[in-house]
Amino acid sequence: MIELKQVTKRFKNKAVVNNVSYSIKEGEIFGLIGPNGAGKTTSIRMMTALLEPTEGEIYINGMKVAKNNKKLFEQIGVVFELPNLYRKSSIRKNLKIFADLYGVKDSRIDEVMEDFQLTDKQDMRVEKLSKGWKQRVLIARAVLHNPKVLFLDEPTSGLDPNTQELIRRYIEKINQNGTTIVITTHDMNEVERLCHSVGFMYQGNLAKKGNLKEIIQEYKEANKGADISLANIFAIITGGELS
Amino acid sequence: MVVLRQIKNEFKELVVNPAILGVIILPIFMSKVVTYAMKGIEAGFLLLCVWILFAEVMVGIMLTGPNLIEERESKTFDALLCTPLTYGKIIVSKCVPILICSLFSQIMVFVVNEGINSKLPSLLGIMLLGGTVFVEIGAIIGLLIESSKTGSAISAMVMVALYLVVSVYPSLPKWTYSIFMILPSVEVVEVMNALINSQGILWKEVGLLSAWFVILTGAIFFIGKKKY
Repeated sequence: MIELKQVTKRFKNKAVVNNVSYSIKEGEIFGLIGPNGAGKTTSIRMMTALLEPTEGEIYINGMKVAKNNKKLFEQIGVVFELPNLYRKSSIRKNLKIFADLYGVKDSRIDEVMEDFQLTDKQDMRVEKLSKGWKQRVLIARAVLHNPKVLFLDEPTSGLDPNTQELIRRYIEKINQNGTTIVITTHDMNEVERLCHSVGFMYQGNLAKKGNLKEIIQEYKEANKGADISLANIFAIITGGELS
Repeated sequence: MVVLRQIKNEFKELVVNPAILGVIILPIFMSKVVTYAMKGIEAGFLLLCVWILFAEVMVGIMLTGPNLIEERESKTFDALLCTPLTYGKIIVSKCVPILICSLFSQIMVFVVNEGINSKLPSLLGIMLLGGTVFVEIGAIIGLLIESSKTGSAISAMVMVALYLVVSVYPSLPKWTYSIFMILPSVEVVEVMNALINSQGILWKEVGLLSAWFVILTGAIFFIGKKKY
């Protein structure tokens, strides 16, 4: 479904992502985790063609990720770390702009607004919304066209528990409907709840990748059956560096 | 189709913003007031051409530059890049509505001062070419400058410089014209003035303005290739 082949991204000779290769299966929720500056956002930007790899290639559904690949962009949805919405426009207007670009009907806008409990606030200007409500709009915008792959860059970071729960349930719901999801997060409980497989990024390298349960089992066995959490594994891999 | 939908959305956004409407209407209003106030002075059609140019530079540069910077600052540009819209289509969908506003403003400057007459159709071509060149200048500012504040200041400086130069060059020695004619604002005014005075098309100036169009279009796509 998603395949990264020896991908490297350098900025001024510094490798932010260094010779990374992995694949993500169809219908999987893949957690890309690691401390700040590990290369997670850069990886997502490359997977969504916002950045071109210095070396290597990325494929989604057999299509090479490249700018101007119209077919690719019809199949992916992206939720960015920053709330990049039209601040002066209403929630509905923000969704309508993107619905028009995908040729999506207004009834679908109503549907996603319902999913994110935005219907009552649809005429409010985005600049008047709190972070949590903006995040709902961002995700609603990204799923308008029912993408096959959804990229979420820290979707629940800094949100209240209710909004976090709403978003997590929505992620589970669309994944059950077949959407492949790539998520970056610092919340290890979230990873344990949502993800089928994970990739630990550290200093631009893919330090560990695999099935979440198998990784936890592997570390348990290595630590003589001790009760080990994903947060412990994270600490081991990153040398105790706090994220 | 996607571009047309986006052009429609952008256009709607422009015309509901009172400040933007002000920028479009201001040249029309000012041209009438100033032309009326200068009635006794023999300025002829040149003054009218200068006001049409004012509409071109004001709308073209002042709307396009800050508009694009805002889009990049708020990262909505990135969001658009992750849709079926390409970089080129985003630029076109941003620039075309502003060009339409520029053409409206230019035509209205002519109409409120001269009425609808047979000279207007002959000016449409140069209005379109000139309008496009100034929208492109605004687009380049919008693509290169990182912050809204700096972008607005630079847009204003470029606009004033290009506009003021047309008030200066007629009073300078004739030989200096060969230098000033390189500037798009001088080319626009000279071509329009010749057309209104039935002196025919100034091919050299039209050629130079067309060269600006080609160079600026190339620059926009070069920036896109480098940055996006």
